[in-house]
Amino acid sequence: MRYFGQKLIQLVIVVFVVTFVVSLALGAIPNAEERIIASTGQGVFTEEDRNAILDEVHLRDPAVVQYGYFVKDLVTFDWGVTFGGNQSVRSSIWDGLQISLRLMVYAQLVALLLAIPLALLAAYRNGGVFDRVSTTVSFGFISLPNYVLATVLGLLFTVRWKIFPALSKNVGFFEAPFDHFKNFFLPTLVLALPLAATYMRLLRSDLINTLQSDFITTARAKGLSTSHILFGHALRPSLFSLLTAAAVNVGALVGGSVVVETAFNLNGLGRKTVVGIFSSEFRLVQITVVVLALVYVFINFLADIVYGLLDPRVRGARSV
Amino acid sequence: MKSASHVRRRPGVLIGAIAVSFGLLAAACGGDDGGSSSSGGDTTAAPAETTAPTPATQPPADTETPVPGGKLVMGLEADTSSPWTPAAMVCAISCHMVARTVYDTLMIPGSDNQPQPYLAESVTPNADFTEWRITARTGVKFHDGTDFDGAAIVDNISRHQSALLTGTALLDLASIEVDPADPMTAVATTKKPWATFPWFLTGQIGYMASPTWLAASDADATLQSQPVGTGPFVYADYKPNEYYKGTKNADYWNAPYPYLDEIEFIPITDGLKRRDALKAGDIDVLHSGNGEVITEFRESSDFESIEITKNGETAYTLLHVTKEGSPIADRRVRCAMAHATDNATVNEVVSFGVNQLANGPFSPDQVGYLEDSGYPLVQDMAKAQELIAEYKAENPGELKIALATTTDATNLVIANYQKGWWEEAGMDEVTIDQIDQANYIVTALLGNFEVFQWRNHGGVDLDQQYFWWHSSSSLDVGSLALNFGRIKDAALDALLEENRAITDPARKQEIAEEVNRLFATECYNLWGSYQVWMIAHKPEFKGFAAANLILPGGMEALEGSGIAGTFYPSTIWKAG
Amino acid sequence: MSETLTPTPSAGDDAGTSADTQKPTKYRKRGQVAKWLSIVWLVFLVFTAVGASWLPYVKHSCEQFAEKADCRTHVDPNPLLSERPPFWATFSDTTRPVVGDAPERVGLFGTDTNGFDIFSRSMFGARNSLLIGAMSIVFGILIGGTLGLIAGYVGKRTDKVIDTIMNIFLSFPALLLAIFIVGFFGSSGADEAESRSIGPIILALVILSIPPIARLVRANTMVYAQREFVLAARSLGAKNGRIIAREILPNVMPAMVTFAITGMAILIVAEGALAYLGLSVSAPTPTWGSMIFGGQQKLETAWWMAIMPAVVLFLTVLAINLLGDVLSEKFRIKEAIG
Repeated sequence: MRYFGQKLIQLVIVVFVVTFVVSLALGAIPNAEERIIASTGQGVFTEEDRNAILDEVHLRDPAVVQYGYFVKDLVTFDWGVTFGGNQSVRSSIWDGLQISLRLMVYAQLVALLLAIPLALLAAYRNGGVFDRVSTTVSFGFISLPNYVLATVLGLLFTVRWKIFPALSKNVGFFEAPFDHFKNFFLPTLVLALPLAATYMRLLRSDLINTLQSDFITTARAKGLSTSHILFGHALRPSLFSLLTAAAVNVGALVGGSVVVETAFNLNGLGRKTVVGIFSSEFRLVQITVVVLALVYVFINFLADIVYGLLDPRVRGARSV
Repeated sequence: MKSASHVRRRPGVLIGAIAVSFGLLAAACGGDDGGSSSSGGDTTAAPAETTAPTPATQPPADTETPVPGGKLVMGLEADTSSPWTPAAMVCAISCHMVARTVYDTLMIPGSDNQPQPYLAESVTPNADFTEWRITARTGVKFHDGTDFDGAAIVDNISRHQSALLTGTALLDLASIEVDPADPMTAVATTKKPWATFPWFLTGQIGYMASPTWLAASDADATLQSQPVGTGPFVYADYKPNEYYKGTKNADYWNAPYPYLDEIEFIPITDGLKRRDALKAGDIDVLHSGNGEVITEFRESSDFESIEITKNGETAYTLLHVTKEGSPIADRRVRCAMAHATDNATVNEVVSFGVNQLANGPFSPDQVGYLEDSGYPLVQDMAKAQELIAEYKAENPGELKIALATTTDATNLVIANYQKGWWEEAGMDEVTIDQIDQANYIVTALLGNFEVFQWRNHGGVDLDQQYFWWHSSSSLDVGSLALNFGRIKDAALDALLEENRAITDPARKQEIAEEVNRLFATECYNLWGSYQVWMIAHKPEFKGFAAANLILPGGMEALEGSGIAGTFYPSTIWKAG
Repeated sequence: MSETLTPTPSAGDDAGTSADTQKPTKYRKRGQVAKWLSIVWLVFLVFTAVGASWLPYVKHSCEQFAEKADCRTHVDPNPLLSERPPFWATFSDTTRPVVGDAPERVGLFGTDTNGFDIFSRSMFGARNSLLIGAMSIVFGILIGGTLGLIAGYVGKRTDKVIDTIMNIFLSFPALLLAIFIVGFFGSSGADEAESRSIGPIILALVILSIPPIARLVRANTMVYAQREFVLAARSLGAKNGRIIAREILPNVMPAMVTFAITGMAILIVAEGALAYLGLSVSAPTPTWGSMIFGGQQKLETAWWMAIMPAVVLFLTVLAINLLGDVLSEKFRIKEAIG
């Protein structure tokens, strides 16, 4: 119980500091006032108008007051309106989150679907040709930055062969399933391939360890079929670190797909952040960053809790 | 409503600059028309001859009978991401494309090179051009059912008076009020004789938005992204960086327009990706100033295209000419930079030779264009080196300048060439500062630069450039001002002021030519090229030429749609 | 061995090694080849990057500089050699006009729109990319390592405080945090038009690298802090500082060095990502990321502009990872990343 308590306290501290730092970041930005005025593009003629706009973002208030407003707006979902475009920040972030979540789910699914069978094959014939080829290839994919992969796949699939659109559009699955597939295929692939390589290597080495344990030898001795041994006995105990990694990646992928979103023109949260920075949409950026950080923190917190529940040793070891 | 307070005009410059730099954002494929949009009088009034090698600049109106129906998807060079209220819009080319679907302008340039009433029934001056009567067309309703009348005109235009961008263009407008005797008529009183006033009603200031919606959007900012006008298409949906959608206005006052049922705009900032999108069928039409794209579509048999070369903006390099201690403040250094520049080669390589090299701010169709303005069009490195050596003899020490550009790849290519030339001419070091978009605007307004890439100065009348060049808008470095280069030139001021006060076309032309020569002699700016715009489309869509728009008086609209790179969305139709 | 070796930047798996000990020698040899190829490539890259202003096979125009070290990026533009494919790419043509006797294909990697030799620029870019990666990891190790040592050795409340701080940094998605720092604080823009310099980028990357290093060092320190020789030293009355420096640090070092190497690969990739998003060092200073991004628009007409720097980046990251692999195999290091 002490373990959970400590995790909870840490969570609260982290959330506090993250929101505090992000709320104050605005004041530290060079030329923040000019940039805000410029990006609002409203009829700012007078000093009063100017002050009215700046007061709205509480830029000139003391830090604690700024933080107070920030938290109040955050929890009441009163996230305001973007300076340019006059979009509700809330709906803008919600739109972006949908895309980011889609990419995350697709990438995880594809990565796991690729990684598990490959790892099983590789581990079963450890040291064989397939094992060596697949581990080498996966090492290559791990060393392949996603923007390089996006560039190469873009050259092949959109420019040379024209199979997929160069700019992905956010087409809903139920609107047009085939278009949806076409638009999300490449971004998913770019995210999933390096991820699959990582997962595959993780699972493979765990599987190799498992396959050397006594109960597998026993199973073999009993004359059970290969597939029965692999799926029935070896796979389940080997999945632990893979699933942990996958869980941690849930949070990382939601905010971490920014490069892929940029490469394929998808307005996910990551791209919104970058575009927001370039167009001085401070409010949008602040809230996006906080939202992503919170998602990330909570997922890791949950992973920690589950981890602790599953493996009592962790509780002891981690609460040193 | 922040109504007509005339206090502190100064910060008002911000938006104009944003409009300009918006184009730079998109400059991978060309440019924008920031200058003209900010003056609100983005118009064409040029002779019918075109200059660039474009066979199809003014095709005759399509002769087939248009059929209604269909949907058009257009790839734009930039998202506007701004409030859609006319007074606050940051309007570059893409913005005008969108705005024309939902709004009508009071006037439209006719094929006689003069502004013709469009949404206005009539626009008439008094004898000395100090009072203009703008009468609203009867029976027109905004999309929300509000009646269009004199009060609506007054509401819209008085909002511009207090607006950042367009307010600068209306400084000489004393007041605008509804005629007590005629509720359909607005009376604009000017401080000085203002013969060119109607031109302003053809551009951004001429867009009429529903007063009901304007009042509501004052209270609720989110409404500002849902425009309500009288135009051919009713606002349907808008997402920044994704799309703008409009549906046919069935009760459009100027029947039989529009033909299309739906229109959608998708911003694709990269010119080459926009081309790919058209070829892949994702969009039906695009506009582009990218030489590579233009060259490709000229030869394409799968797509049709028209080119617009008139009264567009000029791409150039802006110099900060009055900065203390800067070598750029010396005319010899500036002119050395001009001589060292080899625009011909760059135009050939970067733009595939589609643009015409510029020797002044005015393109060949604009008043004031000169065959030979005195500005060097051909590289003369020896002359440049001589001038730099002369300067260095008097000013010992390292000659270093900073060249600012955006993060855009094409602009960077040009900056790299400039760096090469100027260092060859004898400068010790030219540093390139890549500045991201949001800061680029502020930097220009504050005057915190030495050398700056820019595009501007489209339009018809010299008066539309007044606030870009006049010393009254040349404030100290660190204050926001529209005279980015901080030109302070008494001779230039005098010419601009005289031009504003007179109507004689012959004298106006003399003045404009004089300004042109003055820029060449002083090398205030390093001229680049006049931008060519192409509209390329799938062959089943028709009616892109401006001549397809018949004004209420029976006259055709002027080629170039008033703003290079645009067309009138109401005239487009899709063949079976 | 390297082909099956594991601890990888993103994975952090460390198993496998135990199972791979029974490898036939044939594969071990092949691993050796890969290892030596990596070393050769990295040595060549570092050598060329350092000597780019002097070496004959790198095109530049550094003559104008009295002090050649000042010459960072000067490669002469040449409009007559715009967008030429590499000399070996006989299957590709330039779309630009070929004037006079200008060659149709130029250089090992071709040229970009400015006529810059892409190979030379990649090497100048290597300077920046490697420098940023190396500086970031050095500072990261100095700060993160110190924090980790303190946390692991002192333990208790200090440990908890440091752990919480690390958690705060880790709570932001890594790249997003870097974007946030560089994007908002990268260019001052306050008084002068000024482009982004190397400082904020290194700062952002240092912040990214501190938490994993601190965690790794902390875990290792905790193991050694309980070992007999440390307890013995303590009972002999040695000061804490001395114990950390003399007894623990040398033992933690191999893990740190190994991590530094793989970490550098991650940071080089991260810098590239920033550049790709338009948030790294401004032009004309070339970096691999900005070269890839700049060429991406031209994939259809001039694929080499993006692909060649991408290949250089990939080979470098691959080589660094292979070396890191070899080292971690040697030291049997338990990775504890992220």
